[in-house]
Amino acid sequence: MGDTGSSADYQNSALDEFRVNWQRELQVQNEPAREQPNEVDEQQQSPLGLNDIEAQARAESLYRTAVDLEQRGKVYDALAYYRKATQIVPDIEFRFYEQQKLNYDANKKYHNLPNDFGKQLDLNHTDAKEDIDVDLIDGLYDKFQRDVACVDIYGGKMLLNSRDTSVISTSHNMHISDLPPEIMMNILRWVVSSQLDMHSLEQFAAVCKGCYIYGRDEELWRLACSKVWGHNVGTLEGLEDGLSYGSWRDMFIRRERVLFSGCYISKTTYLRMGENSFQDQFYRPLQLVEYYRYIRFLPDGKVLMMTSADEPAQGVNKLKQLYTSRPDVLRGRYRLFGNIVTLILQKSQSRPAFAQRHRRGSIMPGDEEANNTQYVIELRILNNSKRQFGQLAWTKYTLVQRRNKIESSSEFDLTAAKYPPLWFSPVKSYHLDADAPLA
Amino acid sequence: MAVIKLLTSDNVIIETEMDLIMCSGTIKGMLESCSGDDEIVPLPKVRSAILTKILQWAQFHRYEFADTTAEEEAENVCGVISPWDSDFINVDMSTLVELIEVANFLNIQRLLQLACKTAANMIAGKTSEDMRKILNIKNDLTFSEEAVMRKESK
Repeated sequence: MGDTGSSADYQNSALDEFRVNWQRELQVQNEPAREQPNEVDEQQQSPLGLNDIEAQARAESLYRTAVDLEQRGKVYDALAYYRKATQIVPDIEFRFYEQQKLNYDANKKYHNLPNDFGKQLDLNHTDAKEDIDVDLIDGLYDKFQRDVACVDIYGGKMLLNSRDTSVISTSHNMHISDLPPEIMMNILRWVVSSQLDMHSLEQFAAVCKGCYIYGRDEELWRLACSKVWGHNVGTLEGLEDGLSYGSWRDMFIRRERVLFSGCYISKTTYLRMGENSFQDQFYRPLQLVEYYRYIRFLPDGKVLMMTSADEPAQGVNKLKQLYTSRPDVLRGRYRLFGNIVTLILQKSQSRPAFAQRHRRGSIMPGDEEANNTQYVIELRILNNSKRQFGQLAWTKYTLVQRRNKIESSSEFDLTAAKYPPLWFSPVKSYHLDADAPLA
Repeated sequence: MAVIKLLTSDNVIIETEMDLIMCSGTIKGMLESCSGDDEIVPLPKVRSAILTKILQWAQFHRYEFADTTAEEEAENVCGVISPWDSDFINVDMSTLVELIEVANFLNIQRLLQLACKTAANMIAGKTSEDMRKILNIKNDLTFSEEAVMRKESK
């Protein structure tokens, strides 16, 4: 027993000694590796001199530049960098790959995404994946501003050129990103134009990060709001309707208004007794009469209304011409008050010269006229299943007649059968080239 | 008629009549501040090709500049682009951008507005993808960013 015990003791002490020695040896080996900041290098057990580490870091940064260049399409420039990197560290490609893999494992969320330049950018900027979505919703604008500020990629510009400038070797090649911001905003004011084409602005904002920053410019949206609501535009706190808005864009989207990119249409149907037939006393024909009412709103406060038997496909075209007046189209102006839109329409003037003179400025055209007829209509703005503000319901319809300075008004009976709600339908051909910038 | 010499970025001297180049607010200001005759005005930001094109435009609109106020100028840029102008401005994107930049530098408001309006008409009513192609802009958005944007625009 004692013998075996002492031999066991001896074995233990020998093992301990070996362990101590081994640990010391390991420590010596790891000493230089610990100085390295890089995880990848720490995994390599072989000791590296300080020069090697520097060289590797340099090779890595060269390699990274090369990858950037290649992904931007500058292959020839990239080749030079690749060459330099491999001269310093021949197997840089594998080491870089290993490191990339490590990074990807850390961010599993991005693991299945294609290895795109933009995605790598995303990796560098966001560490914890749980935060990303919340972060993006709250501050795409702020995030993009930070991203675009990255000089290495954007070089002080807002937009990236998709063309390879080294391939097309004409001496002078200008890109839209060369323009100063105030000129970009000027172009966007023309894009939105006096017709308030906010849809195009939204499309522009979705082009890239820089475009998003331009497209969310508060001044553009504020101008658009003040065009729609005029004097009633109020402030973002929205004192009148008790709502508050996060931005002018938010107001433009949420606050009740009419849509401009098309026409509101309603269809009225009624039955009419026909004349008794001469031959057959007992045959009384019934006639089904159908007609449509069209209302088109313009962003500058003008409105066109027409009642016609034409099907919408032809009917909407009659409201296309803004400046030439037709006898069957009533013209006037409208205003928004909360969710009510009030229209004041004038019976068409038969004297075009007169209408011409009053094209600008006059709130109620022809109000000096001794005899005239005005239609005053109030409609409530509603949402329908298809789109916001897509429906208008009648609330009031008054006819005001003035004859020999005596005003008389009569209200129409707004039965649902005769005055069904108007539904919005978009009309592509209403889009014109910009005639004036948003101002 | 007084003649002025303009030195462009590619070292070409272009001679032009004084009143023709007066549409440029920048050059007008320069000439008012310096009195010397026969001086060469250096334009280090302007290539001769673009300057020639701009002078061509100025020549066509020569008699329209006289005695217009700033407000009338603003009125003038609205409305339909004349056939001559639309033909003049029918250039590739790179030239259009250069015209905008030079018109801005030389402070020729009417030409600047004409060019900006033309650029705007090229992209208005298009989809984001079409705009990228027209303007040669690289899409630097990630999938998650695009998804958030779509949610925002609803």
